[in-house]
Amino acid sequence: MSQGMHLSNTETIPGKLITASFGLVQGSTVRAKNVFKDFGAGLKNMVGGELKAYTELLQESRNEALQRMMMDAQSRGANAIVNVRFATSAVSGGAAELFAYGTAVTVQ
Amino acid sequence: MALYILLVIASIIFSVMPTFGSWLFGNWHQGRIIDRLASEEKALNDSGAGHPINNLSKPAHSTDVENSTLVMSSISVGPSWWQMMLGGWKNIFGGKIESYDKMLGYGRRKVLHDMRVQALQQGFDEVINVRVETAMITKKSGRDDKTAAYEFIAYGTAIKYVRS
Repeated sequence: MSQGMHLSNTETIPGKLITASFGLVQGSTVRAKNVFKDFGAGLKNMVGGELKAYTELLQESRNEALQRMMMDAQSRGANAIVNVRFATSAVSGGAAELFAYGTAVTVQ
Repeated sequence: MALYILLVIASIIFSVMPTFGSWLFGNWHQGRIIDRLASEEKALNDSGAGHPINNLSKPAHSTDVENSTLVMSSISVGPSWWQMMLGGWKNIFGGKIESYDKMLGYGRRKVLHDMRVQALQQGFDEVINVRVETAMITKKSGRDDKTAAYEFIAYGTAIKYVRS
């Protein structure tokens, strides 16, 4: 993805050998929806279907959480993260937390 | 007297209008996006693309893997006001809430389809260890009961085998 960091949600990087492990790394971000987008999404809810404003907002936030996780891994000297998992939760009425975590390792 | 009757009729029309509109346009709009997804899926199947998505934890065909990366796709969908209202009524006696099925089923199909397209476009052979998650991103509160959104995310490891 970026900076040559290998990501995988399997326990190993397929076709590569893990040589060292640096423990759990994580990245998270909390995003509040903006009032205007919220209003637009509320109107879109009248007919249902995809709510594009939320889709984009959550994708951006998830990428940011991933970036933070990768920075964490890089600072420990890892070059790959295995067993990546995502979690999403609504922390309050108007905000969502996006969370990514995994195990930082070095691979050959 | 006539004025009162007029007022009563007008207020009934204005209170029913959003729900009726939601029923009418909601069914039309949702039918359209579901049809579009179905035709995209069919086109991809007909082109002989295959079904590279599975949730096995290891590559099934060979251990010689050239390249791998994390792929993911997400979407947020919401039911229409009409469907929410039907769902609310169902809550009284319980039972299967069919009105929510339509959009939630759509969201899940859509993320899996998008991920398949993404992996094939980037030249990967298979996506393994796929996870699909659902999250409720807006909570219904008393004041704001007109918004409901659910997020679907699918992610997995895309792999490319070594060509022999």
